[in-house]
Amino acid sequence: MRARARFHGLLAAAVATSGCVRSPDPLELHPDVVSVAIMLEGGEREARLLAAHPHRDPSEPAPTVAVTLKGPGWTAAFSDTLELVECIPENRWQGPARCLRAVLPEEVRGGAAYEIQGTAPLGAFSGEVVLPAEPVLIEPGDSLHLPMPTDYEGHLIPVRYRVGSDVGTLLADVLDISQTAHLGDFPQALKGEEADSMHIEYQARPVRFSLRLVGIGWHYTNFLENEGIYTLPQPWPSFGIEGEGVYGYFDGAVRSRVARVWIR
Amino acid sequence: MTAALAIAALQQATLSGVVRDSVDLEPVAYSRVTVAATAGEAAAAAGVSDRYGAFVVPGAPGEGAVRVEVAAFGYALWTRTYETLPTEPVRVLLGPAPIAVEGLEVSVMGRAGDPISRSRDAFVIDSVLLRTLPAILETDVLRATAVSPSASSPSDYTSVPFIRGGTSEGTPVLLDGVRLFNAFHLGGFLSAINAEVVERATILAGSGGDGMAIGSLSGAIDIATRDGARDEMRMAGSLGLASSRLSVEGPVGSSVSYLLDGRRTYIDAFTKALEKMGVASDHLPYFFQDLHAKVTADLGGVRRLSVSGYHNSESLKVFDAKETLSLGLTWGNAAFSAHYRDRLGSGGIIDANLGHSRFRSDLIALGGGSSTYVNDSLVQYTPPTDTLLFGDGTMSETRADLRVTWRTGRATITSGAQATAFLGDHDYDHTDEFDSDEGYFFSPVKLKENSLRLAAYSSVEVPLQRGFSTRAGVRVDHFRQLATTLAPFAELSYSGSWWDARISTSRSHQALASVRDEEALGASFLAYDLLVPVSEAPVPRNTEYSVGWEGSRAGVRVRVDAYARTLDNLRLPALGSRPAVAAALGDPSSWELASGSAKGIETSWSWMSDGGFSLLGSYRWARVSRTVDSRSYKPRFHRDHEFELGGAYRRGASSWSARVSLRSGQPTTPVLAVAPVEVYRRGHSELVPLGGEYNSGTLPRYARIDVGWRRESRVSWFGGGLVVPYVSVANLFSLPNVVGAVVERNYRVDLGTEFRTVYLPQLPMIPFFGVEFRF
Repeated sequence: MRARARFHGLLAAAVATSGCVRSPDPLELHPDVVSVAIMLEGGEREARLLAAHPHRDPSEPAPTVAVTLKGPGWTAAFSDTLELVECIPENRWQGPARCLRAVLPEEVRGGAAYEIQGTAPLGAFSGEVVLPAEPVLIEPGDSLHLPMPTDYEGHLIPVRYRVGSDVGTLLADVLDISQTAHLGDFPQALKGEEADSMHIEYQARPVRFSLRLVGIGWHYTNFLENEGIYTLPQPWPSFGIEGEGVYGYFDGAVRSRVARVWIR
Repeated sequence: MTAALAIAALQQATLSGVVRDSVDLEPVAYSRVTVAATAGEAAAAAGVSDRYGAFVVPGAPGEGAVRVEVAAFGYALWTRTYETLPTEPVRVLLGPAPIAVEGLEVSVMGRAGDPISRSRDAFVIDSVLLRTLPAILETDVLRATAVSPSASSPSDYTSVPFIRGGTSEGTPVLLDGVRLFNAFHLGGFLSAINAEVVERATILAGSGGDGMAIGSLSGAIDIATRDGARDEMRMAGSLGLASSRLSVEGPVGSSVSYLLDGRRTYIDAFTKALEKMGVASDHLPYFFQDLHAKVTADLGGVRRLSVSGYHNSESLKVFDAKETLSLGLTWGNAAFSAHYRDRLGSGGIIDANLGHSRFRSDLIALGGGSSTYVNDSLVQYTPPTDTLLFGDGTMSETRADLRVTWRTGRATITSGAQATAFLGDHDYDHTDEFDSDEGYFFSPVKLKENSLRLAAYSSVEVPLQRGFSTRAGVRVDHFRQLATTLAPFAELSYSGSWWDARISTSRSHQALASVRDEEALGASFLAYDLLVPVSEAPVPRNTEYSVGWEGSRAGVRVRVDAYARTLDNLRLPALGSRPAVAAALGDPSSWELASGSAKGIETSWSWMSDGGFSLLGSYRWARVSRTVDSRSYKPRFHRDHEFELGGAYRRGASSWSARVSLRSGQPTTPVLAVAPVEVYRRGHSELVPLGGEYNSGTLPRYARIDVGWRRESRVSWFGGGLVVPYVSVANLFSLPNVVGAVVERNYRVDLGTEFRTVYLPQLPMIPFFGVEFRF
């Protein structure tokens, strides 16, 4: 009887402690690691670099990096420090971060090869990228006229294009909107099929805007594809940057010609 | 000298017979039978009864009076003296051995069995040991097999263990000699075999010895059911938290027995009642049920015929609260087996087996429905009609097996022939809407393959001089349209006074692959598998070497085994960029030629006291790897170290048991950095957890203590019987074990802004209770 009472007492104690799930453990990450993000923009005469200490508190100092960019026959240093909002939207947490700019002697060109060399707190790093060729927008032509919709549905604008296999991410972007109108969330991902369509939200009043395609290489695409909560094991796909304690991507975005669209 | 040996040989004869329990006439396996002349100093001949209680002892004195002794664990010694050796099979009825414990008369049959004493090739869980272990939900034969050091549970949620670094497709679960596919319910949590009727579960860890007849990559779990009582009708069963079980058995005439058992869950009714009471918002329309029947005819001597049938079904039908989505899953098993045994001459036994097993599944999910409510009243409803997920599948195996075991004066020869036909016909698909970016359970698969395997095997066991003996054999398999393979086996053993040792090597093949991707996190929560025939050579192959030592002194028995094995020509999925989010059930058409290896040291020990205590423990260390597409890695299911200790104490009608499991952590990929990525011109950023070498890190260690209590009470109901209430607690101290990990950003300012590892939990503390009865 005593044994039974002891057993029941033990059981009661065990029940009282039930429901325990292992608490999350702090992830022990090296505080001096630097994340580097470089997205060259086709047609621009400058390049921007975002460097951050992603494992540090935002109140701590931003990382110090020295980086040079090599293009076809030239070298430029990321020597200008810009306000952070020039690289990322305000209040966008990336840890203590620094936005750097390199002024280039020529426009960034699709199909051209670029290299970076740099040093970060944990060592040297380097990278290279060959920008994809510009997407070729076949349809719409220079202009497209669409009637106002008769009900509260949006527009599906047919687009036809040609892109090379060096494009990892293909986006449809709008610009030069004639008035304050929300056309939807842009840039908008396209399927990558030659006959595709992009969606414009319903507009109650006539609107005009320009449309173009943006092609981004595989380094950025590979990097973004692995966002989430699951760890990406080595060997990683190419991100365009390699070096001790430096993680990120080095890639470029190139643009197609512009098509003007009228909805009226 | 030669003439004397020849005369002695001519004077030798063979004794055969069957050993049975004296009460219910069930066969008693692993009994030791000794035949000795009552006069003179001639050496005694000895043998061991097999799983059907049959024994053949060659080399017995052919002239003069003999004394026959039969000893079996838990039984009183049986002794008879014959004026001459019987030429017909003898019938041995063993009575329980009563012992005195502090003045109480306790049947020895109530003590836990000793799983390492019964077979040198295997770890044997008998029905006594099965009930000694703390129950998880209910007494479970597959979960019990994890006490073997060769068996490792991939997670708390799956009851079927993996054997020596192999995976489930290489370890068939056999019920009465026929393969049972997906022998579990509740996603793998509970085995689909009614523990009431299990005589024993045998874990064959290797492919040599008894494993030669199986022909699998990673041994087998062989579950044998009882024949059914031959003395009177008996009834047994249990009422548990999740299901109720009932078995009825008894004699038909003087030589036939039957056994009929079934189980049905009431999870659906239970949750429905909770819904009606307002405790739960939705009920879970899930059920499973099993039905098993066996008829055994004792045809005299060792001759017998048994026929066994099994059927189970499982179903989940879900509508969401607004009935805009529906899910319907049904699946189940059916199996049939027949076994006939006869005597072949004076020293031989012939066994013929025929079996067929089939698994079927059918799933459909509908979406696209809509419900519009105004003031909580449904004003518009469109039922779901869009098909999101659909498919059905079948896998079946038909097997015919003929085996002859022949004992001569010195050697035991076993020869057999097998024909096995397998069909895998699977067609499952889902639409993009059903797809999920991070973790889902299956990917579309469409295939129909069948295979035929013809096999012949033979082995011989010969005692040598000075305690040495040897076993050797070969198995030839012809896989239709694939290959013909040769699988040899050789063993040298030595028996000392209280210990024995052995060294062996063996090879095995099988042409079945799995759709499971064990690297997917979902695989830890779902044990189901679809097997598919390998359609192109080479055939998957296992090659193993082992060294073993076993000793017994002062009631303590210890077994140590070391092994090394290589697995070639496996079919496995490539790791992919993020293995954790792969589908647990993938498409085998994209599997690649792969290899694996495992090596380890296993120790197990048992101790039983006359005072009611028993201990069973094991420790194993192992290294396991897989190589796919030139990438080598440690599989996610593997733990380097595993320690198990079970203890039981019986006093009077009550028994207490505890089981301690300590294991090193499962492998995981260490995180090197968490780097942000700004989504191109979308105004938000994401995080990319970048890791080191795949599975080069380790999750936290595993520790769990289960306890159980049961008490037998005699009652006069239904003519008298036993009622056994039981209580068990899994993970008594709710130790927070884990089965996986993900990376999370902690956005709460008060907790800082650090990144953290969030764990996927194993089983928390759960109490179970129920009552078993036997009348």
